[in-house]
Amino acid sequence: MEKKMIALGFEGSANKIGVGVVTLDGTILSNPRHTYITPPGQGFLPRETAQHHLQHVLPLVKLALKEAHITSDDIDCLCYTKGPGMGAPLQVSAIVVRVLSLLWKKPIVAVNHCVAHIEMGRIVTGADDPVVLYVSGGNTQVIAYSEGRYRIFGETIDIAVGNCLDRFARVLTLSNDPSPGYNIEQLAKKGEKFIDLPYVVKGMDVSFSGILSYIEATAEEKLKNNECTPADLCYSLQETLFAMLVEITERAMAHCDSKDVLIVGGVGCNERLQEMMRIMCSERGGRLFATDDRYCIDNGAMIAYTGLLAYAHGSTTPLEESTFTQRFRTDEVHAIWREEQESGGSSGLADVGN
Amino acid sequence: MEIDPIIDSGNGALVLVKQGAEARVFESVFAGKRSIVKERFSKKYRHPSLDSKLTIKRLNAEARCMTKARRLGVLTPVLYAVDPVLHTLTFEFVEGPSVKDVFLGFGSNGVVQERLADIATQIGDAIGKLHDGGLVHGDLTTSNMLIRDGTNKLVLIDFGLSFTSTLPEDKAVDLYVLERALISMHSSCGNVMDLILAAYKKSSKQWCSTLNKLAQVRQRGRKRTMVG
Amino acid sequence: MKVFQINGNTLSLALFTDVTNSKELLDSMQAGTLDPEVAFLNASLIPDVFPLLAAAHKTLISKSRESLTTRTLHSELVYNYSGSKHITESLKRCGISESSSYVLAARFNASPDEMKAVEKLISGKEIDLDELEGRADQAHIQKHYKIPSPELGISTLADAITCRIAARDAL
Repeated sequence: MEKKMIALGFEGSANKIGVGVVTLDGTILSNPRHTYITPPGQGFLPRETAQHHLQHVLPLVKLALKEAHITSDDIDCLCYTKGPGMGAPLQVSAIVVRVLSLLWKKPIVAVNHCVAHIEMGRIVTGADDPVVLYVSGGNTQVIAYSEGRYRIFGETIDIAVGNCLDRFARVLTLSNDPSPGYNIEQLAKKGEKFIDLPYVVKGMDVSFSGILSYIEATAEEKLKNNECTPADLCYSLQETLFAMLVEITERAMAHCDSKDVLIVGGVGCNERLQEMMRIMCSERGGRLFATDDRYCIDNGAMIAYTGLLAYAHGSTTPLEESTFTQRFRTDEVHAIWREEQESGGSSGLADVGN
Repeated sequence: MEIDPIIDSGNGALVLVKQGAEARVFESVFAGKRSIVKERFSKKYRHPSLDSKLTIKRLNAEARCMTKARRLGVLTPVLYAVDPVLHTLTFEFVEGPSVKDVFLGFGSNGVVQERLADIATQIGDAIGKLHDGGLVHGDLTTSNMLIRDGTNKLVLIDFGLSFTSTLPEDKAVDLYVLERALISMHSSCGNVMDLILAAYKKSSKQWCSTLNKLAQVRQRGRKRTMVG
Repeated sequence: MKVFQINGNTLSLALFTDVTNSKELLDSMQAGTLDPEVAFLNASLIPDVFPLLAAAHKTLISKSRESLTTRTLHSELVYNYSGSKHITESLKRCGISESSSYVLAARFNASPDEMKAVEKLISGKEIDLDELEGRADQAHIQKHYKIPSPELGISTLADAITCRIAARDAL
């Protein structure tokens, strides 16, 4: 049997460090990760997060290889998150990849974190050409592919939805384990009363900072006066934020004449968001594609897979260009692998590796 | 007494023209004139009280703002009726293509540079008038702009997200939304946004504070670190 | 006169000039003794039939929902035509006064006999509805409906009035 192309991928743009091994057909051979969890009421800071990543990255590499039953010889390319993200944590993956590249004599492929979420979502769910809602702690974007790039149709004009949720969790001093958003979701299930919050949609863009300051300013008072419970606040916040997200996704669908939606990113695990999106899609005769926390949450496999797509189409990153950047827009990436797919040249990428 | 034949000016049958994201658009006849009926429907995914709040708010905002735009000298369809119970607006049927379709035909369908420039100028001029009058459209995309057949005049539609504001920030975001829509949809049309902004500068007395703010809003978009 | 169909109802309109008995009409209207019931409108504020039909449409919807703001179906038509929320003021300005000589009479679902009776009520000369535009008092309309000059650059008077009638309750 011919050998399949294999990539090793590193993700460390935020508070998770992950190393994944995948083949070009999207099979995940291993995907271990470790999350830096801060005490309740606190967010993660760049320096401590980078420290955490440094501690865990090498054991994760060994574990990933072991679980995948491969050695460094089997690897075709090393992929890492170039950005966007926090500088110090990004640096860890970039350095490790450079060292391993020299040590193992393997080419490097730099990957855009957002595009990796999209490609992972597409291969896992089988969504072909969906409108993508990418929601996480640092991103809120509505994306669709057009003419070689993932174009951003709508996005937040201030903070990301996950950031809004995380900061609200701090107001209620909810636990950060496993994630603040998860704990809000669980508490929201017990909410009954809907509290009116600001609702800000501008065209296909949204704004969350006004909602956050409003709820930050009023939550304490409302709780003290027994106007509502913490669960009611979680419930109302989720209902409001997610309605805005579904609305702009639907607007983008109408704009692009597209029927299917793919949700990716950490907030994409939220079952209420998925439920709302599913209702909207079914009303439009389309389908919702969503993934669970194995793929939604940052991981090494998504970086490996996306890097491998680029590698299989002849793209690598020279050592001297294997830098990282905090700002790296989704639409800067030239998605060469999709162009061939669009033009109908090669039917699947799997052929290339065989 | 001479009785003229009865003129049928009642509401004709509704013919669905478009199923939009939050409204169904029908063609009909209102008091003898060809008309559009736009029905906002409830969104099942939304919490019921949020849903009814938004539906009524947008219905009224649209009626208010599309008529206010006309007071400012910006063409919008003539409003015929508002029904807060059925959540419908009835307004003039404007014959002509959307700017989206005209722009998409640029290059291929013989849409020439002059036509593009004329439309861009009309867009900038109209937005300038709205903004100086304290009106922010809130959803400036090329699908929400029509070019009336015959006169080639720009007609703005879809005022559901419109609101009144005199803040440079709100006006800048209004322009930013349009700029992004042009980039994502009409990258082949070249510097349309520059033409629009040039006309905007001529039309709006307060262009300076708005465009300064626009530069800041753009920076915010690019500089956002986007962690995770 | 002319009959227009609106939402399965009819609106009959008859336009009169040189009316001499406005005071009499006003008195019997206020006493509630007009027979048949009819709306008398200040025709100089009506440059076209269309805005009046828009007001009639609105009136019929209110009637079907039993949510009339004024006492009768026909006073509601006058009130709706004004595009304003002030009832007394609207009826005064858009209805007739003691000295009105140019009057539009309107009645919903009138039989031919009833319209004949309406025409008999009015001492004046009936003219064609096409005369509305030429006889409209542009300055007065602009003032009453607060139509600024930028709007007149893009809109007819009739369209400007229609917008105000339609949007009144959304304000």
